[in-house]
Amino acid sequence: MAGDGTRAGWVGEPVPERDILEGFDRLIAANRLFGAERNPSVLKKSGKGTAFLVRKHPSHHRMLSAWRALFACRVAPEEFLGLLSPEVLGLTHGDGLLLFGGDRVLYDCQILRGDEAVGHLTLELYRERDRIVPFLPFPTRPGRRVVYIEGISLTRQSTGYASALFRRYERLFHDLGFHLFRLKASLSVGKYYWAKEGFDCSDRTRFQEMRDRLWDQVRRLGLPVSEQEVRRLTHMSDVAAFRKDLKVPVWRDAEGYYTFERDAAHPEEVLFPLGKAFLLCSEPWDGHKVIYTDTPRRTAFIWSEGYLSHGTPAGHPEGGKRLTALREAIRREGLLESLIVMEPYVPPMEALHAVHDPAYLEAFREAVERGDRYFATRDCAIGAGSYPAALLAAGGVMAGIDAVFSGRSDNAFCAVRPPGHHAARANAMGFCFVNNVAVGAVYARSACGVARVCILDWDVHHGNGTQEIFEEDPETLFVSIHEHPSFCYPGTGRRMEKGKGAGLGATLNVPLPPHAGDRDMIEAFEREVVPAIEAFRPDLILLSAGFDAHRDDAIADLECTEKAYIHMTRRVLELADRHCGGRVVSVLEGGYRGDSLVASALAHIKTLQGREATPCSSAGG
Amino acid sequence: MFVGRRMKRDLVTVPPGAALEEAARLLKAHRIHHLPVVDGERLLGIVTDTDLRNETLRAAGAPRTVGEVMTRDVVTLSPGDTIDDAMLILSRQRFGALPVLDGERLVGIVAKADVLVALLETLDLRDYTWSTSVAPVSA
Repeated sequence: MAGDGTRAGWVGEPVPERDILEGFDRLIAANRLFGAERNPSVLKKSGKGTAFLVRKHPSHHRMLSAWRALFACRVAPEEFLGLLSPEVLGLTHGDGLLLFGGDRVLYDCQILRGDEAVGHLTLELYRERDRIVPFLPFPTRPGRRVVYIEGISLTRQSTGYASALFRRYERLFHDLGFHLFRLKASLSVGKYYWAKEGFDCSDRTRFQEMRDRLWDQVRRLGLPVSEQEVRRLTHMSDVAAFRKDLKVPVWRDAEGYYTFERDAAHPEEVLFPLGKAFLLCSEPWDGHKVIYTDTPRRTAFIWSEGYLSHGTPAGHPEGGKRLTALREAIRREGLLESLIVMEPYVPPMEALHAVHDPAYLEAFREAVERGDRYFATRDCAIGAGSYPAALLAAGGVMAGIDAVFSGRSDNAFCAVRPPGHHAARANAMGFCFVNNVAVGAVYARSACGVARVCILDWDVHHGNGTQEIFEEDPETLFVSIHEHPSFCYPGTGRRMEKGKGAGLGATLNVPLPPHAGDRDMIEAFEREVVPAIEAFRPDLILLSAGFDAHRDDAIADLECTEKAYIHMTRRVLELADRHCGGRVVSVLEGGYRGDSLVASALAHIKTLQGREATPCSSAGG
Repeated sequence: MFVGRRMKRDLVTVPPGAALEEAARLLKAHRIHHLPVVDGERLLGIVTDTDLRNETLRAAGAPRTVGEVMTRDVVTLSPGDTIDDAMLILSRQRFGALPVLDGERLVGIVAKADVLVALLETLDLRDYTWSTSVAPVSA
């Protein structure tokens, strides 16, 4: 999105404040700038009427500070009005007004075809407030910049005007440093239209309810749709495009809205594809669309509260704090604004059975239900929520793969727990129960048409589970860089282990001596790992990204810092660009010391986004 | 215990064009069983006393060079590997010695005897002094 011609000219060079004030004056003189306040009667009735009452503009000082907060003075008022009203598909804007109301600036205009008014558009621009202390409503600080689409109406639909206009707007607001579009999808067609345009439901529990309702509907109509297909939906646009091959009938109700119920007064039925029909008949929902800012790559971030339900006893290194700390740091660093946050889904058992022995998974489930303290080995502590959390972790990788292959993101980071790379076909060890990466690799092959998958494991421990699962498979390259097994758990991953049978040569182990640092890690990576991946030419790169090789992490003896992770991430992205369209799905494995895990993972995520991340925090001291 | 610190660095090697007699002479003179075949510092193969024995037992033919009888796909170590790695390969593959490569460069060799020395050390027997001399018992 970046790099087009419109950008260089005016963004980045702040307009002098005097010019902005003069611009305000000229607009006031031309009767195009006013103040506004909420119309309380409208709020009560909700729906019809203007939400704002126009009144005299506020003081210049207040207008200027609002302008500064929203645009950092990067654009002058008249210029901004001009940019907001391009001629698109023969339609223009007339009577464009700027209204200053409280914390926000409104844009209101008529949409004209020639001289004839054919519609109406209202935008609100404001900044969200972020809490500084998560659980206190105050104090706050300025947060994301938001474009709220208060309303767009056109007398005739399906002109393509709104799509074209908002595509322009997306670029414009991207360049102005805005983070999000928001809206309420409430009109009958709007609910489908906005989803199709890539707007997602802002409230995730709400989205899950909608998905449940879709499943109810499917069952009621007896459609040939599996529950898994419904469960895989993670975004409104998936719903909009869901099962276009199935046409279902809908009717209009007394008010003209679509419903699934036939009404005696309106017998004419209309056939729509399933997803569209469902959205047309759904409840209104609050939507948002990310306007990507300042990151060259779009990175999905997969995370769920469900991962915290895998409870381990106090003192166990693999605790839920790892993820909460990471999540909190991502919020603190303002990364949430540029990451595409996604929910994992519970995978179908077939996806897991492709990797794991069904009897083994069953034994795991029984152990959890029995209330055992550990499963298989003593280090694999389990709690009441461990079984669903382990499934959800595998589902997280699958959701990441979906995101990358649907084009919703360029790459993905799956912050999952429990980790997976020690889990073998029928064996749990090293805090791992389900081999998340392996499930992902098999899934990518069966569902996304991928042939050759490369799994790169830079956890400090050897990924023995992943190696065992793929050691006879020539189509999966497993590369692990880890501390030498003579000194470190799990005691496998010697250089001589190169795969078996047909898979001979598709396993590469690069053990490093204890106390190896960034230089040794990067050297070994460049010397052995890069040429191996280069020669393999993968269609997808999966990363088993453990961050326990960090020098502050006491679980092993390697002494790397964020620098090594940044370097390796950058090189992996280069390799992925060359061979597989940049498709990288990174999956969290180990990393047991809060601050070094957070610093390394943040550096890794920033690099995945294509930012020039500089190592921070503990690396310096 | 890294291979890099245990390997023999003063290497006895032969070029591929050497005659078998020359190889046999080197093995005898240095009391060793394995000769890396090199071109400068690049490892081409390895020739062992077993190779030489089999060659002499073969039906007579034109005299051959080391390059013609050597094993070409050699299992090697790197200095960062450990003695455990060496022991595992030596015992599983029933090899006698493993050349050590640093990248492409031949830097040393680890033979069974070197591994035994390392093992003696871990058993704290390296400086064990014999109470009686070890002499062959002749009939």
